[in-house]
Amino acid sequence: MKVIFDHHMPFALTPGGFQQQLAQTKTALEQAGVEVDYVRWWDAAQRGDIIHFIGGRPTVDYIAFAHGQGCKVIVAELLTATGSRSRGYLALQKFFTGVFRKILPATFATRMAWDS
Amino acid sequence: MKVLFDHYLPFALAHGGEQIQIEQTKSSLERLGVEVEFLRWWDASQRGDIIHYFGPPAAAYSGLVQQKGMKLVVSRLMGSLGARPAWKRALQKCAIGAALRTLPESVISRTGWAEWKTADAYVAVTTWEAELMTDIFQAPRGRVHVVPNGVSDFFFGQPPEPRNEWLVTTASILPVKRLVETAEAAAVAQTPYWIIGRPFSEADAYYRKFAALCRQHPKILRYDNSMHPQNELARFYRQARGFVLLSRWETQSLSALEAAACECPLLLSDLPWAHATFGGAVRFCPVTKSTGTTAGALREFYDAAPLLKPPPKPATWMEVAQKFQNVYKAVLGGK
Repeated sequence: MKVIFDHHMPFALTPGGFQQQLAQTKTALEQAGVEVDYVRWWDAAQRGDIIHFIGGRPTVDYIAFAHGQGCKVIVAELLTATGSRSRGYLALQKFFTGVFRKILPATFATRMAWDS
Repeated sequence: MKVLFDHYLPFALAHGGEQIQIEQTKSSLERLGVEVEFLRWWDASQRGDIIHYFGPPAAAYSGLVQQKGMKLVVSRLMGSLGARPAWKRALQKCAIGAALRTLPESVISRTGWAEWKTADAYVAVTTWEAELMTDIFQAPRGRVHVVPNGVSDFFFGQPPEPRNEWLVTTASILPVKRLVETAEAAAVAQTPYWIIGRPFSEADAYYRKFAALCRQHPKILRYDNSMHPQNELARFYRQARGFVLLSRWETQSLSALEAAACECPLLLSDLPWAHATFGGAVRFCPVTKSTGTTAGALREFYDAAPLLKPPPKPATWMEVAQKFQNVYKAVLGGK
């Protein structure tokens, strides 16, 4: 099994706890015998069984392209801001997300990655 | 000057024009003496003067770049937007304006619209897309630059050859390229049509439909899914009767530019990118669902091709790199 980690914010711009979490997870997985690599976006020959997308959610297109290559995608988004909101606010967010998914054009919905 | 290239979609998932653009730009800049590295997102020690991002950067990206004392250059492809009718673009502009005034920041940051104000430079490949950046997204005019796509030297150096009976297309087998529609029209028009390209996945339904169509018309349709080196492609363009690309949208088709460098007559979708790139020096076909209309345009082009003047010569990748170097110098304040 080969897992490749992807993330869209360079650690050179945002060093901190998340970087540590990722490095530790990679090391621990390797110790458990799992082959782990970082996504080298420029390397057309890089292959993996699973893309583990961390700290955000990829677009629908990204996932479709991965599936087209026979690759599974795991999304591990951090919902820190969402998780800190009140129940009332979350209910409102859920309602509006549902409405927007129905009425907004596909290009907008793709950008929001609600279907990822 | 050290430039870091960043991009959101791994080349291993989607091959195509943007990969060629990025690879060719990097190698040409290096030949000019500019230090260029691909951005290793996991490497906290990687440093540069400029990040050149190809695509829409993530929310807050530009702010973080600036906090590190670096500059941000953003290259965007807007082929889909550029192909929309004027009324849809006007509606989109109004909707974006209203959304920016009313929606919460968490939603706006996800759309990427706020990023149109914060980068140090924006790069479009045609004057048409530069206009879209300033008009629809209100990017500051002084920060928008036009740098076209380039063509490898192979395509300029190929000697003239007698032209054969085939119209040729080189493109990925994707719905946006409308190869099924073009092949159906070629079968009706009885114009020999040679398609060179690969799907992203052979399991894709559009590809299976395309492959079945080619098997159904073996005398008119010729499908070639091999990877050809550039010198071979250049020879194909030199030998072809004409180059055809009737896609739904493009930003600036690399294969059309390559064919133009080989003086091959072009039939392209009647879209703003094609007009902005080639002016009136090529033939146009409307983007239509009517197979009869497309077949008529193919037949007319097929008959006229031997007498058409060659399209204008595109830029070389070295010329493209020089333009990028000027953009980088400008954002660094002439360093």
